[in-house]
Amino acid sequence: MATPRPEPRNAFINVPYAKRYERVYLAFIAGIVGHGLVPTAAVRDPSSRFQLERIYELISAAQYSFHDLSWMSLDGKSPRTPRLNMAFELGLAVALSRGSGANHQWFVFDTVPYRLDKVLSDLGGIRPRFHDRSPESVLRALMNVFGRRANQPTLANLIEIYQEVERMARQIKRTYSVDLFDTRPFAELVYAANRVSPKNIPTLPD
Amino acid sequence: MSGKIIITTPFPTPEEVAAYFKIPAKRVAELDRMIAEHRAELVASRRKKASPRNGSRKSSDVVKTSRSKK
Repeated sequence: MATPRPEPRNAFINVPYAKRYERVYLAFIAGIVGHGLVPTAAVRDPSSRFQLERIYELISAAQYSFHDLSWMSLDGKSPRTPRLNMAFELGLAVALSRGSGANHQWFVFDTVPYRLDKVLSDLGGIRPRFHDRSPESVLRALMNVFGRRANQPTLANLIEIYQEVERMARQIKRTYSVDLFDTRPFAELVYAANRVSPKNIPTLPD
Repeated sequence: MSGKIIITTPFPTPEEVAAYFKIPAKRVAELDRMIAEHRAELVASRRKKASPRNGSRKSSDVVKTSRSKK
C-alpha cells in the first residue's frame, strides 16, 4: 500500500459507531471543524473497496488522529465480542507516526482515568484525554489538544457549532438516513459544521 | 501524544469542503438553504428570549416591530 502525504488540515476520527456514541461523534466533528480542520472517518461506505486499505489511506492522509477507546463492553449480538477496530486503528496511526519523515500526531481518549493503563499497557506513558460522553466534555478535551494562532474558537463558539451540527443530524435522520455513521451523512455534517463556523466564531470573516 | 498543537492553516472554505467530500452542487444548495432556515429560527428564538416579558414592553417598541414587518 502506498502511503499518501498527510494533508495538514485532515483529522481522522476513530470512535465506536454506535447509537450511544452519536453525540460524541457529532462533538468530534464540531470541535475539529471549529478549529479549522477537516475531519475524516472510516464511516461505512457500501461502494468502497477493501476496508483495511481505505482506513490506512484515510489515517495516512491525515495529520492528526483521534482515537476514542472508551467502548470496553461486549456488544449485544451473538457471539458477544469486544470491538477491536478502535484499538487496531490506533495501532495503524502509531505505526504511521513512527515512519521515517512521518508527521502524524495521534491522541487517545477515554472516559475512565487509569483504565487504559490496565487494558492497553503498551500505551504506558501516554496521557489519554478524558470526556464523559457529553458533547461539552469532548469539546473541552479537543480545546486542550488544539489552539489556533488566529480565529481561536471559545468553548461557547464550539457548543454553538455543535448545536447546529446536531440539528442537521436530526434533519438527516428525518429525511433520508437513521444511520449517521455513513458516508453521505458524515460529509454533510462536516459541511454544515464548516458552513456555520464563521457565524459562530466572530473573528472569522463570514 | 501530548502537548498543545497550534494550528496555523486557514479555515477551509465551504466550497473546498464540498469539493473534498464530492457533495453535488444541488445538494450543497439544499444544505445551504436548510442551514439558513435553522439560522433564522435560532436568531428569532434568541430575539424572543431576549425581549422583555409582557407588561414591561413599551408601546413604542410594538410600533417599531409592526413597522419592520411591512
